[in-house]
Amino acid sequence: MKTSSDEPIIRIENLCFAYNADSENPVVALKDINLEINRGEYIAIIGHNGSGKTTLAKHLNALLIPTKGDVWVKGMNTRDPSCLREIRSTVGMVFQNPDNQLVATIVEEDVAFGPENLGLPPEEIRERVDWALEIVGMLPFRNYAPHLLSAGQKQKVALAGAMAMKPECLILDESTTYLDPAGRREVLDVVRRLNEEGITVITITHFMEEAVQADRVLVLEKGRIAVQGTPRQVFRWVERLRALQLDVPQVTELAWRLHKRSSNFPADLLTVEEMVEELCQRIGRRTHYL
Amino acid sequence: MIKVEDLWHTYLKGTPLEAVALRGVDMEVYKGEAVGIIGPTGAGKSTLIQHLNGLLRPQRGRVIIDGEDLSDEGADIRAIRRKVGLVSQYPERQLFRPTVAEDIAFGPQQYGLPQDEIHQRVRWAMEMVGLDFEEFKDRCTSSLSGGEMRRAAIAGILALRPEVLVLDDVTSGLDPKGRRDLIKRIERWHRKEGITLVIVSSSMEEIVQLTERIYVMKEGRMVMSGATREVFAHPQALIEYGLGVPQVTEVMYTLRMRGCEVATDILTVAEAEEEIWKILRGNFAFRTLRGMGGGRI
Amino acid sequence: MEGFEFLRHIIVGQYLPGDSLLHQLDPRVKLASFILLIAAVTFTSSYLGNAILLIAILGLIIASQIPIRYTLAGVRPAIPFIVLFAVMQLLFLGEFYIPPAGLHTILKWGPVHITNGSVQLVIVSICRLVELLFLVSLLTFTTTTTELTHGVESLMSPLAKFGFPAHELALVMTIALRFVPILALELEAIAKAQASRGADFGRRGRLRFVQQARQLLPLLVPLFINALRRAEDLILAMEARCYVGGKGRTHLVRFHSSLRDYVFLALTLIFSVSMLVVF
Repeated sequence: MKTSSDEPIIRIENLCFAYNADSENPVVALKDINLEINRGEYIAIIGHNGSGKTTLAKHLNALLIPTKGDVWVKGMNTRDPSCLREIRSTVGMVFQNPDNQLVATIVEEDVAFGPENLGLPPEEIRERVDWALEIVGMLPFRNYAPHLLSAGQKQKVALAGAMAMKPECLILDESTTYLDPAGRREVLDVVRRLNEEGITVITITHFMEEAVQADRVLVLEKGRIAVQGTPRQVFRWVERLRALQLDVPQVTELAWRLHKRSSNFPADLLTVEEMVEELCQRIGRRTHYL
Repeated sequence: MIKVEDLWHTYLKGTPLEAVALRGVDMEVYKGEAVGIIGPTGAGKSTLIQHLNGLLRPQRGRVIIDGEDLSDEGADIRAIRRKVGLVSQYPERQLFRPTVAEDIAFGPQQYGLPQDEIHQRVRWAMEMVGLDFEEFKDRCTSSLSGGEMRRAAIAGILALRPEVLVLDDVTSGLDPKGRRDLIKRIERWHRKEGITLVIVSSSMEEIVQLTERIYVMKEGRMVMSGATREVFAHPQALIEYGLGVPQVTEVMYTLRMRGCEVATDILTVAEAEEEIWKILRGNFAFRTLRGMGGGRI
Repeated sequence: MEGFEFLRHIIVGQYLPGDSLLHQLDPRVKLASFILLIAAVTFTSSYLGNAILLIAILGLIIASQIPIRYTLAGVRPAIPFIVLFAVMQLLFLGEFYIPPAGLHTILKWGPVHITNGSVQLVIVSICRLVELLFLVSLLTFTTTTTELTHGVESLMSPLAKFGFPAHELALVMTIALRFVPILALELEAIAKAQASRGADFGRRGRLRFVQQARQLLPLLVPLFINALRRAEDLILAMEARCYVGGKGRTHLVRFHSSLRDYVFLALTLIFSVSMLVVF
């Protein structure tokens, strides 16, 4: 099997999945998904509730097996039970509810849970735990009881727990849903840093401000990929996204409206900074740069 | 309608884990208003609203609801809970009866209302939250989607026909469409049914679309209050407190800081569009004049 | 970080960080000693024996550097029960226990029969209860929950060879301890939500048992459902981190017994055995 770094880290071919596939009324969740995810990419998957986002995520670390089609992680097929451990060490996952992922009564013990399951020698476990807590910025909290932490801090501990497996790819399944704005910023900062260090990140979210940070955005609808592209490409389609019951960042909507009034105004602005820059240029002589 | 005077509250008083949650909070809510309360986590918002329906009694200070002082021993707390309906965070937790209609009926039953009155109220409440009566009344509560469960739980409080509705982060955890729908409905309840609203939220969408006046809390104190528009016109302070402001408000404020003469009390995309278009068009006209050899500046 | 008002009442079971001899002992040794001492307490029924035990346990409390007053406070919630039992035993169990020196009646009046036997019974029972509470408090004050669960798992692991689910039991303990505060907070939130709908949990009095149970449904059903949902989530999270059961697992935390631990264990053994034999 080719293992050059050009090979996509995750490859999905004709994936179809139905819950209760063998019963009388199967519920189809995913249809004909074809996707390649390259190393180091930052991918955002958005879609309304029920579009299949979480179902898709669970296929990436073999928590679910396709009804039809295949999922390949680093060349390993998720249907192969002997590869399970390797696959789950390569692809780590952080879930939505901060409390329901933490097993132990002390932070550093929970982070150690993964490495312990791998049967690593205690010295190595100790090393990994310290390293993981350090990169998420929770080292000072190593001896805390989880229920004394804020939701954002708990998610960071969960992140550390996933990182302690030394994965090459990280999946965040709506991990910021239950966080307040400050907590969300904390977690996203850590994730962005990890991505800059080369970790492939796949985030499932319904906060558009998060999706704009990604390299690629996938929009799921009724189990299919409806739209795919860079954030700029995808969020232009304000009306289409609205029809898919999604939001666009306020700034993008504003840009789109101004674009409708004056076609030389760009419709694909994503952040406050871009909007301000654009406006300042147009308003011309009144700007002075602080 | 609601008056809070110099309210203090300490959790676990007298133990080593003691924590002061409220430090001399003042607040007023008049009948028919829609008031918001925002602030970072731990500011004391939930503690404050739990006083509004008697879940917590004032340790120090006064809370007066529709003329009734909660510090009085004989205060009729149950009557207050009928007038002030509190929807807690993630209210779907409270669902426990097998079917939707039965669960919504729980509240009215607790107050001993007659059967047909209960039936009427359940119907009305379900209509208000957008759960079709015939379709959902016998549905199993655990078979509902997240959004439907939330609406069923809210209906459970509405069935008490409260005069005041206190909502604690009512859209948190919902997807964008769910959020939009629910906010529209709440706005309708306020407008059509005249229900007074007290909204605690960290969602700027909710605050901007629903409230006329807001209070800003931090570390147990009220640090700012005023008309929603005015408070958001000073986003600097809010950002310092770790709160978000609508993106468009931030855009206008940043432009102002850069020297552009723009209004900053902008809350929605539509308002921003109008204001910016005015500026751009004005500038455009000016440029055209220059191009024609017009005045030098 | 909500304050939860129940926490103030739970003294037994809390961990108090410290640096004393008892804090530093190997948890397995502490657990084993604990069991030995419990045995000693249970079977000692003489005045002298209990006096010695009390002194020994007080000595341990001092060695742990935990203020005695705090330990005594842990006994307080139990006092009404102690008094009730004591009075019952004193009045009605006159012939239950026959002291080695023989039975003498102190007072007899109708069903009430007080003997020196019942007096001894009462005093010894009170002593035993206090000793037990002290021992449990000592153990939990000086040992973290993780140390306890790992200690239990470690002690039971030889039995794993015979198919005893040592690891699974320890995991169950850990998860239970982890979720107790979570479910407690959840229960409080549920109670508040139901109270906001008019549910009344305060009514005491002559309600029939069935009715009282029905009143708890709005609390218990949501709590149960909540716990199940959490369990489902937790399973997925554990699988995602390659959990496949106890086989092949290693541990971050290892215990090293030193000479001091063995000495302590030996002393406890000698002490307990002599108590059992002599008294």
